[in-house]
Amino acid sequence: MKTQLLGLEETKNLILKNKILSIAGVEKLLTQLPNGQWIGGSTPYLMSEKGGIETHEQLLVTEFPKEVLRVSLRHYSHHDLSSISLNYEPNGFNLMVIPAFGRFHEVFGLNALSTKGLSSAPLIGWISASDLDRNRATSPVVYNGTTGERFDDGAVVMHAALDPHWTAKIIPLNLFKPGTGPIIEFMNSGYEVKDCKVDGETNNLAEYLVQNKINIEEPLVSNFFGTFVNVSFKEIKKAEKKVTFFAPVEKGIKYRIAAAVPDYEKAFEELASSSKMPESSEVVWCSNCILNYEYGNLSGKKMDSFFGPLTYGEVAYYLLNQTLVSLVLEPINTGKLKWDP
Amino acid sequence: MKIAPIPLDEEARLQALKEFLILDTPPEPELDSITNLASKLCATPIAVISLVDSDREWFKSKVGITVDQLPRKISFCSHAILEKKFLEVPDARIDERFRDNPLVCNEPNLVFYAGTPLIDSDGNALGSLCVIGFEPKVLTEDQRLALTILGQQVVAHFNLRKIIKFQKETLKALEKLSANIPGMIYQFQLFPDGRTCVPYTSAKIEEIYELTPEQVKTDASLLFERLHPRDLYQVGVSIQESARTMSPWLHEFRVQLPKRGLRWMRGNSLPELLADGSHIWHGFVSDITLEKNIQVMNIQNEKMKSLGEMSAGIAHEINNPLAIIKGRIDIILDMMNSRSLTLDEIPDRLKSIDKTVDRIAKIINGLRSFARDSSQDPMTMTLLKSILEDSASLCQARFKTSEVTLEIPFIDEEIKISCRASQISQVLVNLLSNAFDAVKDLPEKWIKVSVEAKGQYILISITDSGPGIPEELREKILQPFFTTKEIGKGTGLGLSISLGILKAHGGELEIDKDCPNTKFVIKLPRMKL
Repeated sequence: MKTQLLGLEETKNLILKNKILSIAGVEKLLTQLPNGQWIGGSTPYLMSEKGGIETHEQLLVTEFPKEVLRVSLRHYSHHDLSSISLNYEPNGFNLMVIPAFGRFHEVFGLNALSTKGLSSAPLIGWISASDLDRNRATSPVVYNGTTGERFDDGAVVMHAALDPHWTAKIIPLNLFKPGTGPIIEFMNSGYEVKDCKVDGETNNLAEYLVQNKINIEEPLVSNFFGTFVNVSFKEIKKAEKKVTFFAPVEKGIKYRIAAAVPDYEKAFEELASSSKMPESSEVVWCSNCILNYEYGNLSGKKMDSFFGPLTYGEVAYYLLNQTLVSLVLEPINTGKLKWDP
Repeated sequence: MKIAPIPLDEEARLQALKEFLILDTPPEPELDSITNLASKLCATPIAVISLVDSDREWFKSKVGITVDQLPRKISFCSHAILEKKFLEVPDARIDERFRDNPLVCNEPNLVFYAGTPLIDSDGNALGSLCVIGFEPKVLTEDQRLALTILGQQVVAHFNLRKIIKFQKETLKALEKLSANIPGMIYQFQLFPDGRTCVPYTSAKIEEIYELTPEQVKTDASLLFERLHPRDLYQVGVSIQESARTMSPWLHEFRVQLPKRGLRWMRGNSLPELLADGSHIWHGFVSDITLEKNIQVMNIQNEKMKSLGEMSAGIAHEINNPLAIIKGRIDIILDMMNSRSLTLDEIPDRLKSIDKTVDRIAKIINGLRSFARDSSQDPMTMTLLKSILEDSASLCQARFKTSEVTLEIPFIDEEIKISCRASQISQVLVNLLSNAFDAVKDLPEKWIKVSVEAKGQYILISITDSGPGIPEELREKILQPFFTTKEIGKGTGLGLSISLGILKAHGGELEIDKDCPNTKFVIKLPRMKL
């Protein structure tokens, strides 16, 4: 993966060389970039070769490899979910950047899996951010580099066409596993919840979490056909007896609070080595959750070679939380003809 | 004795009886229980389930008698099926219809008869459930009702038998069919709580997933374990999307099998929402590994075929300069022998040989780069001029021999394209060869190549003196396996592969429909220097 921290001028040079790029950084830098084949989103939090950093001076730039033949970029509003897949390339992938907490973010979280065609080709991406702790007036924004347009809602998607000898795969790498606690189920899908069922008994979730002193840095985890999927807690609103989440919980799904991860850095190292990519594969893009950065004290700590923006949510066909998502290119011809009759 | 007349619907009735496939079959405990119960409820020594065949009544179940059948003409049941109503004969000895019936006036001297007709769903009276005694008797209302209900139970059992038999036959046919299709057919069920199972799968699952139907019948976990870890999540997402949108599940994925290793599969199924909230998909999965590999191999195979076609011309092209070299060397040797060769003449003569060697080297280089598999090569910035000249040099000899004129324009040294040069050369050679085949027997035979920059693209046009491609063939001609050439002359893959190569380069292959001649236009993204 060719992802590096670059200054404004170096980034401009790459754009002018017509490279296909994904760029993450603060808005004041992104705004100065020339038009070209790039998609961008705002965040000062980046996982780079220097480890997890907060920067207002550099951009994290991912240059896509030669197997990516061409790209087209489009902006979609929250009314356009069903149109996104109409622009998918027959063999390719789609990189989406969504500004955090806008209407598109909400609608996508609730409806991505029930939108026909959205999963027919790899759809990966991230939720752009403003500063997490400086409480600035700036909103999270996204950019369509080909037109130079900046958006604070909707989503920009880079539709990429791949060399026909290659295929794109999305790999979610999740540190979390379900803990041994009770099964939690919800009566309705949504970003905020009052009541739920804890091992079949109706409870107020906010009261249950407070009374049982549950650490909400650990997400809710469900088993999705053998893959563990997280929903992160955002806040417990004690007065309103409500709990809010960074992605919607779903009715009918069985969740458990995740088992604690005592050392994020070590856990990432183990996860990265256990899911080592074969030599013929290439990780071309990834992003990690800002909550992993915050809760795991990853400032200045390097996570193998998974460099990318630290985000308010990860897109891997739909909205995930506290998960490292990566896009991998693999050759279609696996050289396995010897198995054929 | 009054013989019961033949019912008006006799033909249909006999056909229905035949279709139940029950005549002359062994006793069945369920039916024997019913006849026993009828005998007990009505307090008669005899009870039978009698089926009225064309010339006999045959007893499917019997209590109190040993015979299996009786002639139809002396049958009490033949009367019962006639009216399709409950028939009760309190004393046959004084009944006009039966008093001289041999079963009444002789042994076994039957006196009492009551029977309820067995009527199928189409209204055919197949026979009756009847009770028989040796004393005069009148049934109570309750006994008549009980006998009627038991008769309905007999028909229900006949129907069930028919359905089970039909299901068995259907299943057998399905198994035969599924054994002969190139993949497994299956039902996959997803429950609201996330559990999954495969209620039905054909035996081909042993090939596709190297699992048995029993291993996944109640829990599909083993099947998911066979999926390539990098495809597992995507398969899960696609299943969820199919369930939520009730749209067909169409997905290509890889499986990692213990015996056959990595294979590509294609799944295709339709979801159905069941009353319990679960989703069930009905469809099939087939192994497409070969298809995937052929997709890669075809490009190389087609190239080798073009090379074969060009080999005679290439041999000629190499032989000519070799003859020139030989001639030059002979002259030098002659001059040396006659001592007429001066030192001043040597460089010029050697230069001429060197130039001719360069010409051969160029052809050999062109061949070498054309023939190698470049599918995994990186894209490089290449001069369009050199690709075009190399490709033309491979075809030149054939063109010369058949007197086909090839016009190649001056090409700006600045024009470069990001490409796999060998693949673009393959496209050009394919188009030039097609053009050659089209014009070689025409009175006017020429091929013109032109290059122009248009917006973000470079357009390379190959026009020949042919009359153009008829409108009805324009779309088909770019499809795989479509050919207008004689059998054995073309595979029909050349143009579709060329199109595939160009698409992989972000380009296109178009037919200029406005040109009076045949004109193919290659469109490739232009790279700025």
